[in-house]
Amino acid sequence: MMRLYPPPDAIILGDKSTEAYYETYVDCDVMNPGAFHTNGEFLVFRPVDMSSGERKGDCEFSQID
Amino acid sequence: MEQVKITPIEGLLGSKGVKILLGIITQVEEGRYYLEDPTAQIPIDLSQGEFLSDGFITEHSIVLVEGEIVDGVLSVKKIGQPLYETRKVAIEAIGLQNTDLFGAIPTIAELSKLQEQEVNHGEDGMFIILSDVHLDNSRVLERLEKLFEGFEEFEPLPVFCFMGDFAAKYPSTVQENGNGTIIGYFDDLANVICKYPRIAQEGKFILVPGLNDPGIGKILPRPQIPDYFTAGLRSKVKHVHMASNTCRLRYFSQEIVIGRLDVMSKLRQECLVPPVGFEDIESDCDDDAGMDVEKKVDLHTIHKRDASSKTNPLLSNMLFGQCWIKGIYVLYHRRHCLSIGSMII
Repeated sequence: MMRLYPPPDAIILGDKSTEAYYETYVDCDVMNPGAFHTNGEFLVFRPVDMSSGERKGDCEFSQID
Repeated sequence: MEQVKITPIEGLLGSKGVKILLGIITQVEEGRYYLEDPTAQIPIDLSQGEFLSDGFITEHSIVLVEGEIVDGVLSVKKIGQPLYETRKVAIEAIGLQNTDLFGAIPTIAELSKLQEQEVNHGEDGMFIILSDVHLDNSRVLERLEKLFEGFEEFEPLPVFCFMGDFAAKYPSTVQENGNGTIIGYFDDLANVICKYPRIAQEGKFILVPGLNDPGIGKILPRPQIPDYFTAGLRSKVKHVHMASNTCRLRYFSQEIVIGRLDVMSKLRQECLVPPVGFEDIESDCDDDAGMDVEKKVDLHTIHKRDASSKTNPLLSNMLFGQCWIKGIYVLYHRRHCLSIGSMII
């Protein structure tokens, strides 16, 4: 359940000890949506995005006031 | 490419000069760190170590070290993370039978087939991810309503993944009708979802609990929120998956790990060598006052219930125990980012 080997394709971490972020580390997408209760931040994650011509994940930050 | 020879710790006995070692940092005696490999362990002095890679080095990090023995202690000159092994390389190395927790992909040929399908049919798939959805906050419920309004017309509907804590403050267990209040929070969520009948019928929801949500508390992996609290929600909304923390999803060939974990503060608390290029973090690491923010230890126990831990127990401990693995902390588009470091053992 908790192992990270082999590395997964994506890791979604709700981590309120830091800001929202999205980072691709080698081939693993790691993202934190931020806290929804403070300013309505959330993430839209698409695991398959072909717009660049190759298969990769896409992540957008969004917010509801 | 320049090749270096890794010396086993056992081989350090009686040798002189600078050596390169690969090992795990452990605390054999309280307050004293050792470098350990399958052959032996040796006390290390990290005070002079130059940190060469990104990320955090904590107890139980696997590190590459350059140093020499001084009076029986390995004086570290340079320290860094070993190379990252990609998912593809790891799967090729150890095979799918040991890696696919779902037991659904028997062969690499099957995996390639799924990747093909993913490209052809998976592009519409979308996950809406929210964390700290405090259902006791009316503002949050209003925002959720707006969220559902926005996605109602999507075809296909996205998957909604909500992470806890699901209330800013839960009623105390001795408080009268405390449980009723908690049930009410999830009923409120159900009512908001039911305003959008298509989402209630077809939308898929994944609820990942935080550490303060009802149920078994501060252990990891943390089981789902007990059914008792969510019966109303599950009866009104057709596809609600009460997940554990952490949990993992499979999307065609992809594996996605979801966790509600305050990782960054833990890494900052536990780092042994100041991270590179972040003076603010360095000051936090050097200065105990800087650690007060999240000083309270909120993750205590690793619950080894899952069979997967057996194959690689070390890895579970590395990320989710008191001892955190190496992570990467970088400045990315002016954001401070964390990503998980390499997982080679």
